[in-house]
Amino acid sequence: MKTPLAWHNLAYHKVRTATAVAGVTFAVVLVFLQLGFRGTAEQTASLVYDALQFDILLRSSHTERLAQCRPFPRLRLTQAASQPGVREVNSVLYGYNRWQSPLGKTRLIIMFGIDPSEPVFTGEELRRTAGLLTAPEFLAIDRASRSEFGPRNGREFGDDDVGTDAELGYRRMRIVGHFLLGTTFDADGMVVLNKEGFRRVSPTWPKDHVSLGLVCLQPGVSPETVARRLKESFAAHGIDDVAVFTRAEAVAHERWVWLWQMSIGVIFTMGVIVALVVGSVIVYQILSSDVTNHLPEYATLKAMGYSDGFLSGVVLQQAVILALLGFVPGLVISLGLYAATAWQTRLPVEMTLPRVLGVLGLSMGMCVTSGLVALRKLRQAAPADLF
Amino acid sequence: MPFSRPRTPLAWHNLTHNRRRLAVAVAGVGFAVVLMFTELGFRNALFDSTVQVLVKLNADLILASKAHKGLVSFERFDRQRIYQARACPGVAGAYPFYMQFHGVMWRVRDRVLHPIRLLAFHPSDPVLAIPEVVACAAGLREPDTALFDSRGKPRYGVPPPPNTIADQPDIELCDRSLRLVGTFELGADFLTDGNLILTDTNFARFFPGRVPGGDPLSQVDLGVVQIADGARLEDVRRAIAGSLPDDICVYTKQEFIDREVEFWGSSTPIGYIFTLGLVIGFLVGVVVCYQVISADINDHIPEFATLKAMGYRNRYFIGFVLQEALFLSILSFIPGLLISLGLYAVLARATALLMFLNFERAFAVFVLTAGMCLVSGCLAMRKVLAADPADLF
Repeated sequence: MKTPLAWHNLAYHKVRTATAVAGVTFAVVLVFLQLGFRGTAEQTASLVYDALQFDILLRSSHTERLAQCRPFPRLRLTQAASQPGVREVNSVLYGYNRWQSPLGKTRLIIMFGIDPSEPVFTGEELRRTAGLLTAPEFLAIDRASRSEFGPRNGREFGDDDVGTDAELGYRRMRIVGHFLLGTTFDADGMVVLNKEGFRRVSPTWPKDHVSLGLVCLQPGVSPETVARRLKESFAAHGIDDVAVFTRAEAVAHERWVWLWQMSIGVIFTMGVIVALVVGSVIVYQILSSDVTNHLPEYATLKAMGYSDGFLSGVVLQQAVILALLGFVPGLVISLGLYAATAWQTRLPVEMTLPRVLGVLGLSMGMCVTSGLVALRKLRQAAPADLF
Repeated sequence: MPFSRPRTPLAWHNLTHNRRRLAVAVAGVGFAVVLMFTELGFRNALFDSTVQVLVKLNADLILASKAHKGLVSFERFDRQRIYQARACPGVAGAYPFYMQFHGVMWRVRDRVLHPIRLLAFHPSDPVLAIPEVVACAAGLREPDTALFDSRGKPRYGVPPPPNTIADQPDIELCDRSLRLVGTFELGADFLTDGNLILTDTNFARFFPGRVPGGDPLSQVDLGVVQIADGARLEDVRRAIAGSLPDDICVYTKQEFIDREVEFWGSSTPIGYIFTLGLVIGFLVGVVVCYQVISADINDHIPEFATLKAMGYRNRYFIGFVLQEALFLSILSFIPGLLISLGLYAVLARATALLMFLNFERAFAVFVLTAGMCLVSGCLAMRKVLAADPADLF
C-alpha cells in the first residue's frame, strides 16, 4: 500500500475524527478512573503491612481485619520465638484515639505503639523517626495525615510542627518527628509513639497484651513451614485467640476483606464493571459510526477493484489509529485526575503498567471488533449499493 | 404556511426506520443513563445511608458538642446541658441520645467479632421514630437486651426475620451476653455494618467505662429537642443557645443533616472520590448522547437537504431535532432506568446501604439526557440550518 489511506481518511474529516477521538478519550478516562479507585482500595488495604517488617504475622483471631484488631496476650510472642528458624519477634500496639492539634482541631487518629529499640518498620525514615520516641510523651505524625488534623502550615505536618504540643486521648504529647506512611479509606491520620505512651493514652488496654506480633525468620527458612508449625503448636496447646499468617497470606486476606467484604470495595468493583461496559459500548459506537460514514469511499475503492483484504486492512488500521489517538490523551488526562485525587485525598492513586496495557488492549479490541462488524456490510454488498 | 405543521411524524419515522441503527443508538444513550445513575447512586448511598439515623430522630432541634464535626468524631457533652435545655421556653422535651461505635464488638459464639453501632436512650423518651421501639419496650427494659437491625449486613450470624428472635444464637456484646427482643430496620453505612438499639440502662451496663471515672451516661452524644406546639423554631433555638454555655451548638434537624453530608463530602476521601466519579460519569454520559445523536443527524444530511430544497424552514428542522432528541431520550431512558434499578437492588443487597431513587433524581437524569440529546442535535443540525441546500448533497 503506497498511500497511508486510513490516515488520510481520518485526517481529511478533521472535525469528525476529533469528535470520535474525544469519545474514545472519555471512555478511556472513565475506565481508568474507576480502575484507579478500586486499585487504591486494594493498595491501601496492605499499606500498614507494607510498612512493617515481618515474615509471619500474629494477630487476634477474633476479628476480620487489621483496623479492628484486638489485643492478644504477649505470651504468644514468646511461644513463637521458641520455634526453630525464628530470628526475632517484635510487636506493635494498634488503636484509635482522639487527637487534638495545637490549633484545637479534633479528629480520630490511628496510633501505633512501638518499642524504639525494635526494628519494626521496613522504611529507613520510619526507623529513624521511631528512634526519636524515647519518652512516653513523644510522638511522631504521618505527613500524609489530612489537614483536618491541624498542621501549622494548614496543609501538611512537617518540621514546623516539631516541638509543638498536641493532645492525644486528652493527654499532652509532644510532636518530635514526622514520617510518611500514607492514609487509607478508614484511617486518615496516623501517629507513632512508644508503648508506654500508648498505654498511658489507652487506660483500658489489657496488661501484657499486644496487637500485632511480627515474626522475622532466619535467612533461608520457609515462612510457610514455620507458619504451619506455629499453627500446629498453638492448636496443640489449645490456643485459639491468635491467628498466624505468612506475609503473603496477611496481605491477601486484608485485600480480600477490603475488596469483597466491605461496602467500599463492592461499590468500586461495581463502578469498574459499569465503566468497562459503558466504555466498550462507547468505543464500539464511535468506531462503527465512523466506518459507516466512510462506506461510500470504501465502495469506490471496491468498485475500482481493490480486494476485500485491502479494504479490511484500511478499516482495521483506521480503527487502531482512532483507538491510539483516543487512548493517549485519555491516559494523560487520567494521570492528571489520579494526581488530583491523590493530592486531595492523600491516598495513593497510582497507574500500573498492567492497567495501562489492559485498557489499551480493551480499547484496541473494541475498535477492531466494531471495525470488523462494519466490514461485514462492506463485504456483502455490491459496490453500487453502498453509495 | 403549508409546511408549518408536519402531518407525518418524520422524526419518529426517521428514528425507527432502521431498526438496527435505532438499537445501537438506544444502547448508547441507555448505557450513558446507566452510568449516570450508577455514579449518582454511589454518592447518594454514601450520604443517604450516613444520615439515615439522623433522619429517624424525632427532633426539631439537635444539641451537639461544639467540637462535633460529624457522627464519627465522637465529641460528647455533659448531660446537664439537656436538663438546662428543658428549662428553656418553648421546649416540649429534650432527651439524651447515646451512640457508640468505636470498640463495640458483636460476636456469635465461637465466630469472628464484628463491629456494630449502638443507639441508646431512655425507653420512655420518644427519641427515635422507629415503631418497634415502642412495641418492644417491655423486652428492652429487661437487662442485657437489644433490638437488632435486620437491614444491616448479613454477617452478624443471626437468622433473618421472622426467625431472628426465636432462633437467635448465643450472642456476646463486648464480652457480655446479649439477648435480642425484637428487630427494626435502619441499615448500614460506610462505617457501620449494622445497629442495635438499647435502653440507656443496658447501654451503661455494656460500657461501664465509657466516661472514665464517672457515670457512663453523664456524657451525651446528641441532644434531641422537641418544641412545644405553637412555638417558633427560631425563637426556641435562640432561647436555648442563649441560656446554654458556648460548648454546645444548637442546630435544626435539617442543618445537622446538611452538616453531616458536608463533612462526608468535603472532609473524607470517599466523598471526594464519589463526587469525581459523578462528574466524570455525567461528562461521559453527555458525550455519549452527543456522539449518538450527531452521528444520526450526519447520516441524514442528504435527506434534510432534500427537505430544505423543497422549501421547509429552519424552524421545521429545529422542531425535528427536538422531537427526535425527545423520542431517543425516552426510548433510552426507560431501559436505562430499569437496568439501574436492578443494579441498585444488587448493590443494596450486597452492601446493606440505602440505595434509592426518588422522582427528583430520576427526573434530573432524564432532563440531562434529553437536554444533551437536544443540544447535540442542534449542534449537528447547524450545518443544515446554515447551508445552501445544494451544498449539502
